[in-house]
Parts: sequence; C-alpha cells; structure tokens
Amino acid sequence: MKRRSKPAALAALSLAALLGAAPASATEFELSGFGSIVAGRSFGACTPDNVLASAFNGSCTRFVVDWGHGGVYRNNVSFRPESRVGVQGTARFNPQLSATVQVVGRLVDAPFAQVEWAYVTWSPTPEWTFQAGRKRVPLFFYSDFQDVGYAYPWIRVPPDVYGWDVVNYNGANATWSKTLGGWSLRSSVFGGAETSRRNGYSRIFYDEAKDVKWPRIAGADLEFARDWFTGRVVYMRSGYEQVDRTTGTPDVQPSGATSGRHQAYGGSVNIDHGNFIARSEYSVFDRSRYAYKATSWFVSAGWRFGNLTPMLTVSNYSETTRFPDAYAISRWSSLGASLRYDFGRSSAFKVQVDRLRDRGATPFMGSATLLSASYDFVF
Amino acid sequence: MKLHRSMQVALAALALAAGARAEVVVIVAKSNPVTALSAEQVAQIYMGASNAFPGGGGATPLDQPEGSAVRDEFLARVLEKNPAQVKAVWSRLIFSGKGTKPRTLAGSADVKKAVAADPMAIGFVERSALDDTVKAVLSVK
Repeated sequence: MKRRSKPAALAALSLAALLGAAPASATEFELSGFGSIVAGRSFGACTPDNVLASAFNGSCTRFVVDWGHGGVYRNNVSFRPESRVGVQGTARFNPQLSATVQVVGRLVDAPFAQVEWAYVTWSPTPEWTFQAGRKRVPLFFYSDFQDVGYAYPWIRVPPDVYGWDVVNYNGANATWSKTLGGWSLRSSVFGGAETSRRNGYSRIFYDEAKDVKWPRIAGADLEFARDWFTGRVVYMRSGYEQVDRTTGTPDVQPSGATSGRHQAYGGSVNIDHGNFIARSEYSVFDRSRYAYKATSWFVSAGWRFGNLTPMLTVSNYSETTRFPDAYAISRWSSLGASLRYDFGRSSAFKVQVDRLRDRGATPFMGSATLLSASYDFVF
Repeated sequence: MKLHRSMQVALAALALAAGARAEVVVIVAKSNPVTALSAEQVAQIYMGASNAFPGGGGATPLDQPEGSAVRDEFLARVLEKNPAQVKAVWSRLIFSGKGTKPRTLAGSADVKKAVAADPMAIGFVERSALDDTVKAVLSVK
C-alpha cells in the first residue's frame, strides 16, 4: 500500500475516534484471510482482435473473467487476470462495536495491494446492524464475497452476470435481520458514492485511463432463507459518468449526454438440498437513457460427492439500445463445467472449462473456450 | 466365501463405529429462557442466518476445535454439513461483513463454563459432559 486512499484515511480516523470513545474493556483482534491462485488460457479459432483495448490485441482469442478489475485471459497461460490474496483485520471493542479493514492484492492491479474494505460495524440489537465506511456494492448475490473463491463452487462467479464497472463504494448501510415463521430474513438499505480511478472495467475497452463515477448510490436488498432455500432480490440506482483522466473531460455517451442515471435490479435463487446444489441469478442493468440496457442470467446445478463437487453452468448476457447508430450491442451465451475438490481443512482445488459463444452482430470479445484451474484457501 | 467374511467384518466394524458415536447436546445458560430448539433453529444460529434465539434474545454461538469428534458429530447431525461446507459459509460471513464465525474454545469444559456465564451463549458438548451448570435444549443421537 504505497498510496493511502481517502477511504482508508477516513476509516483510520473513525477507528481512532472509536478507540477513543470505546470503554476501556479488552479489545479483541481477529486476523483472517483468503486467496486464490488461478491460471488459465483461452483457446479457439481466431476472431478479430481490434474491439478490446490494444493490450488484448495480438491474441487469437480472449476471455473476460473479471470485468470489475479488468481480468482477461488470452492465448497464453497466465496467472495474472484472477490471482489474488486478501487479509482482513477486525478489532472488536465490545459485542456491539467493531472496525474491519480488508486489504486485497491482485496481480492484475497496480499498485498490487489496496484497501478495498474499511468499515465500522455497530449492532445495537440482534436485529439491527449499521455499517459505515468502504464496502462492496451489494449488487448481486455473490458481490460481497466474490473475491473469496473458497466460498463458492466454481473458479469464479459467472462473468456474464458479474460484469460491472464499480465494485466498491464509500457509504453506509442499515441491515435488519429477523427469523419469522421458519424464514430467516435479512434486509438492508445502502447509500453512498464512488469514484473508481483508473477503472479496471474501462481498461478492457480503452487504451486511455478512465475514472468512473457513481454518485448518489442508493439501493435495498432482501434475502430470505428457509431450510434448503435461499433467495434474494435487490434494487439499486446511481448517477454515472466516465471521465478521461488525461483530458479531465467526461466522455460522450451514445445518447450525446456526458452523464446520466442508471438502475439495476435482479434476483437470485439458491438450493442446497442434501447433496444437490443449484445456484441461479437474474439481473437487469438499465443504462438505456444514455447507452444500453443489459439483461443477464445464469443457472448452475451440481451434486456433492463427498469432497468432489461437479457443477454445470449456463449463462447469458444480452443488450438492447435506443441508439443503434452510436452503440453496437453485445450478446453472448456461455456453458461451463467445473469440478471442486476440497482437501485439507481450508483449501480447495478446482478445474473448469467454459465455452463462450459471441452472438453479437458485431462480435465483442469473440467466441472462445477457456481452460482454468485454481487453488483457493482461507485462513 | 472369503468376500462374505470380510463383509461381515466390515459390518461389525460399522456397527461398532455407530455405537461409539458420541451423543451431542446443544446447551445454553440456565438463565436463558429458551427451553428447546430444533436442529434447524440451531443451524440458523450457527450458519449466520440468525443471530437471535426464537424469543428474540441475542445468540452468541461457540465452537469446538476443528477435527474434534464432538464437532464432527455436531456438524454432521445438527447442521447437516461437512466441515468444508461450514467453512465456506463462514468465509462468506467473515469477508462480506455480514457476520462473524463462532468463537472456538478449547473443549467441552470451556464451552460449559462460557455458556453457564453468558445468557446469550449457545454451545455443544458430548452428552457425557453434560451437567447441571448448563441447560440442554437439543440432543441428537
């Protein structure tokens, strides 16, 4: 961490304030972490290589796996797009009050390690929790733990759904949880803002560095679980602007506007019934006023055979636009097969093959096959 | 014939293993108003889906060391999950800021002591370790 980002400084300040305010009772510290070492490469017939940023040219095929951080595989084996390690420290001042900082290092990032989470948690009652600081935008079911490969069955959350430009934000949330008639309910409202400098998502498209701004983020979600079923719905909206770092001017959107508002909503259904596992998610990301509207979904199912968990996943991404002259829409669908092997007390080895068919009139990344393997661990 | 005999041996060993399985009891403080919990209610508390007892009082789950027989029994028969599944669920809670994993104590004696002293605590011990310092709310054979 060479740079000290504003949110980190803010968190440090609030931490210091809390330390000062906290009673002199014993503060407990917890240190934990996670990591994934992932290697992969794309295969397939050559497709035009002039659509993505020039960094991804000179390869027959390419495969975007982590949109938010700009992780893209090409025709050579690479550990760079997805390998990461995270360390989290929590200071618990008393049962109601704690402060947490999570630093994540990614091979794809420069600088390597950044403070991605830094927040204070206050739980005055079992039902209510309030958090303030830097957190993950809880846009999708896996958003807030998509870095923790150990926590899910595949090598990565399906990129066709998990594909947005802003992943973290500075703000606050209030969460209410309650058990009602056998259902566990958890609902939160969140609000804040984010300026993502040298945005990773934009790096996939542009050679020039871009800052992406999401001001006035506001949203709510509800998670409901019972026995073998977990469901979730979410709604979020915010402002949007992409600024060229060199010139400092906002980019012109397909509508001609330089900024706009977008909204996203979606739902997720998950089943863990004995050894049967099913995961699914549906999401609409609506930037139709100034660019496009994207609909995406995935369905994944598998079976747990002791330490082995094979899964089959289908997913789809498709856009529509009101500005066909200024915006070429993308559509593609994917099919993936993955196998997770749990070994030791806290690690897993996974292999996965994904086939993406680019169905756009103007191909975007182009059809390709991706082979990847990962070692995931927590500590 | 030989196969038959080896199968008999295996069956006998299985029966022995089943008989030797520890009975697990879930315990709370005697001052806790809760008198009984279902396996599902216990699982909700341990898997981070709920942080309160059915009556509304806050619940603080306590864990036993990884790999201990009583923990393996508790996971398999109350949570109905294997250790890796439980760790995956807890990983989500820890790193997403949605909760914490249960605090791990050194063994049943420590769990009983911690539960007896805290009306919010919930723990599990072998049936043989149960005594009148705590209250059993669920027992699985």
